[in-house]
Amino acid sequence: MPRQPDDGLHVAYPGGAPGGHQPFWAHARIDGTALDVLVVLARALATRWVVDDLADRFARSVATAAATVVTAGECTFDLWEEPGRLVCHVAHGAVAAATAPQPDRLRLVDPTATPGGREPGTGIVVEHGPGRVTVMLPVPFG
Amino acid sequence: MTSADDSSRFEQVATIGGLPVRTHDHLCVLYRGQCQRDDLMAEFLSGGLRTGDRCYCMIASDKHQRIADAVSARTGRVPDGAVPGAAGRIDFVAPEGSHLGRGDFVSDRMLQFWDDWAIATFDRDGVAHARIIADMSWAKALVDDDGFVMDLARYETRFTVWASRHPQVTACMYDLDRFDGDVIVPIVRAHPKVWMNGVVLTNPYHLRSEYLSDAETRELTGHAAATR
Repeated sequence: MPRQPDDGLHVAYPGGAPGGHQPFWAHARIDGTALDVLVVLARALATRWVVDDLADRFARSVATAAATVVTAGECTFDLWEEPGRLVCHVAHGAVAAATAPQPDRLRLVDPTATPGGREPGTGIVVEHGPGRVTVMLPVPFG
Repeated sequence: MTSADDSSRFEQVATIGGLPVRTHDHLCVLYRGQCQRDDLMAEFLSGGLRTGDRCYCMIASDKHQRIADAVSARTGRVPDGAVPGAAGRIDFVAPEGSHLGRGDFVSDRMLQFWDDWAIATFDRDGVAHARIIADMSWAKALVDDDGFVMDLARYETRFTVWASRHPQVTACMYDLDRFDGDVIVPIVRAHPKVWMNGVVLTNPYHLRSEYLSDAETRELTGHAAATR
């Protein structure tokens, strides 16, 4: 079962991850011209933890989510690991300073987001909020 | 060792794939296919010739001429500098002459290579600014070797420390069509900034590496703050 979206993300990693595992976090500003990059990156990260078919599903979900949000203009894209899941967050416009991701505590997921839609048989959860989409993939670590 | 913590040199000094880069930057460039690689290399190196930089281009030897031709087509001049110390020249090197110096890759040996290169380039030759670009395709043959990817990630992480201490910009190029997630993810982790087919990815966790000492992390954090 994935964590609730506003759990203390990465709070267990201040100053470096335990066991030498450096957590992954990639951040970018994107528009509609480079969604293929997101697919490549999401798939690359997911294949580290799950079988290829599931990684493909996650990457496609990320692409769909991004395409949905990016139609309204430039977006921010964040893809990161946290204990037990991979999270991709795509939001319209710049991230406000108050809500921007911080190294010690990622809080990108809007607590007002609608409950996640779980893709049958995959465990992938897609949550839609105003101007933002979050895609989560449970993974066997953490 | 040359120190270049002169804030006047933190301005944009180059572009690659449209991305402005500044002195001390260490970029990962994830490209798709040799046409894109050649364009990116030629852009970066042409700019270096125009600004009088010493350019170091590491790529398989059978690609040297095509890159030289691509640079010449952009600049109208022959890129090879024959005169030691001449500004604005490109030194072409094959992996066997650098990363695979003894037939294998060892991160510490390669980092020592760069220390020696810095002494020769900046201290001995008096070069003011350099550009380094490396096609990392040679790594494909080694990815299944025990410990190789880990050592490569260690090298890339520690190269950022080296880069912060010398007046240069570096782009390490990885082909997305050659490398899968087992390489791409550690490589993205190891770089502060990644150019990926036109998208610029930043890695807020790049300093959280087991390959950096606390002192080095503080040094890089201070350096990043100074160049902001």
